[in-house]
Amino acid sequence: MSRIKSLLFVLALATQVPLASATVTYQVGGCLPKLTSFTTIMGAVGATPRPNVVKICPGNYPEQVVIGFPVTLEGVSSGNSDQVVITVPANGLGLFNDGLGDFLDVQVGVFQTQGEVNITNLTVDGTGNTVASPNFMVGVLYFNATGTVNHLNIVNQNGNGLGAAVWLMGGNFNPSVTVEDSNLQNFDNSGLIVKTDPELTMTIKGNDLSSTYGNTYGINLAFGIQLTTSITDNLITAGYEGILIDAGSGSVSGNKIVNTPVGIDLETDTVSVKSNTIYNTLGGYGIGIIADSSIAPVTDNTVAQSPIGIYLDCVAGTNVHSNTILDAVYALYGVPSGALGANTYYNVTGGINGGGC
Amino acid sequence: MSRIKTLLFVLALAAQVPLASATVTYAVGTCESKLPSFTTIQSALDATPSPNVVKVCPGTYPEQIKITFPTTLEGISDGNLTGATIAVPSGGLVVNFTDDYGQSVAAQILVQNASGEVNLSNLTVDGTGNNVTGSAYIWVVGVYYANSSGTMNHLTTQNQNGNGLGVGVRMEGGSANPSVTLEDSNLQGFDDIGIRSETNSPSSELTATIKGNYLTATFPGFIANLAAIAIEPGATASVTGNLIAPGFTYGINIVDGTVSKNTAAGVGFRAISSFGASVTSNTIYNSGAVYADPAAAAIWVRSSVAPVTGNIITQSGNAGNAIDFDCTAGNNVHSNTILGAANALLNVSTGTDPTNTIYSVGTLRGSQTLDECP
Repeated sequence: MSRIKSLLFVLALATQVPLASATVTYQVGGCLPKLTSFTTIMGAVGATPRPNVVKICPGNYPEQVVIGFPVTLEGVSSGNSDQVVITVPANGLGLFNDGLGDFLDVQVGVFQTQGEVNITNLTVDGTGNTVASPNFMVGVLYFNATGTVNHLNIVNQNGNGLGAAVWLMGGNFNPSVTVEDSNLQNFDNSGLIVKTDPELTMTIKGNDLSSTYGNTYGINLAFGIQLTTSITDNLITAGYEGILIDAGSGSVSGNKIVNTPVGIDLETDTVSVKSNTIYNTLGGYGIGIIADSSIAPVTDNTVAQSPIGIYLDCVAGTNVHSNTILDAVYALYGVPSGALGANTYYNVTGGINGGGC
Repeated sequence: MSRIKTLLFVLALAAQVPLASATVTYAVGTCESKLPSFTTIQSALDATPSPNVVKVCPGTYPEQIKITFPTTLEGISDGNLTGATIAVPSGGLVVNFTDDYGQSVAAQILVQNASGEVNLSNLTVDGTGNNVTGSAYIWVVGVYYANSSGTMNHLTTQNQNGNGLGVGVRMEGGSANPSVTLEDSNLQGFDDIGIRSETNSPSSELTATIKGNYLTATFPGFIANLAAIAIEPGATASVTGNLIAPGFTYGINIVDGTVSKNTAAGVGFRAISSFGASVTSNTIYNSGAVYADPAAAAIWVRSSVAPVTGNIITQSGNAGNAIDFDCTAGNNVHSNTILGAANALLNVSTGTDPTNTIYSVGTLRGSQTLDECP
């Protein structure tokens, strides 16, 4: 083939590449002058052509962000700063009805999207919200949408006792959501809450969760028959219950839970609880793990300094084994008659107790 | 060799086995009826022949204990109970040791100049009612290893407090260059330091391994300078896999050794302070939660050599400094991940450009004026 023919061939090939496959990248804030710039995040998200990537410069953005197509939203650094903060707009937040009886006021909402919506390196700050009960105040919502949230700082979703940093729902797209390496802090209801009737697969790993509010859940699997979950290597400090498992199937492993009156509350047969560390469940009736199942494996966990190591609730038995209890009044409480699994106990003054079973 | 000759040979060999090699085991309490039993731990330790093992039945033993020879002291179970608690004798603790700085110590368990390993396990050491108060400068210590080697595991030390000089476990080196391990134990209720290691010596005379322990500050109020782990001069330590709960002023202070894979949450001032130890793969969350002090930081480093790498620092609080280089550290601090801080890197040594991964912080490199860097 001559050189001219080769060139024509390459050009012909190039013209067949559809324009839509090109990556459309916008910036918000002005720190990346080579990109098309917007002053608001929603200005960029709503632009034509739709962006594949929106890069956000350091600054405060008082707006509600709503996303309905695949896109990556990422904070970027500029000069010596690397802090993109989405704050509550002066005119408040729009309302979303989840169809399960909950009304949500959402700061960043991802709705009904096939294809990934990824969000990284942002702070979502709920300070100054005026959300009133019975509405929930939510930092980030994924509803029937797939994607990954990482290195987010989601803070101060509080004010009416119904604040949640992250809220996940499934849907007919069978979405898969990952929340990783993020900080969820100062919520006054739940750090991460899941309520889903349709299918949802979620991975929650390497996050830090804490709250100065006492009556909170770190991770709250509230409702979800078709929920598949993997909750690993998170650090949860303070609140009322570290992880509440009312629904789903999957595993909870390798988490560290500190200073909560209840470490893990297992209320279903289909989630295993393995190799978690629960420390200092405080005085009174502190409980490391509530195992309200005779089936779900509860194994290889360490509970240190807890009035009750594992509460079997007159139900659990041989499925609870190979755990280590250090420094407790009762290693096992609510022990039913019948066989028990073998666990290891140190410095347990009251042994095991039927607790009225 | 005929059978008779063989038998005689074996008998002759057996006769040469010294009697001292037999294991001498005593019990304390009444749960081991087949063993010689004593009512106090010290009486078992003082018995002749000296025990290799002392098994302590569940119960409360109000006594101060001194161990000066190699032995194992272990709490044992009786039915479902496993709790042997060493409590304060009536009237309180008395001074039973002078440390290598010449200061008085009231230790609940004192291990001193033992020629071999002294191992402790499955015991609670409770300092409640120690009665050491007032202006007297007396250290109240749960377990004190002085110039002795051994391993402590699955201990609970608690309530060594009252005069601001309460320590859960203290390790002191010496001429024997001892090695001491503290692992899988719970330390709470002290009012100065959870674990302290030192030798009053220009060189290290102690090797300490501190791993898998749990430390909590249980006081409802704030105690200035409360520290979880302090590795002072004269000791080399490996500090790994410990969990430090919220409420301390300092998490881990260390001069020499390694600090890795620890988790520290809610430390008020500095979670890790290194004067020369490597600091790797630790997780630090919500440090600076108490102080709004511009010098507060998740990690503070005074070394241009010791590696500070692979740490994850999330949400450095009020003052908001993730890593303070103290105008000394530089490119030895790298590959750390920082999420949420006012200043990610503070007081970075001039002429260096450390590479770390940083998310959502106010400034990537903070002012160098706080400590007046040159």
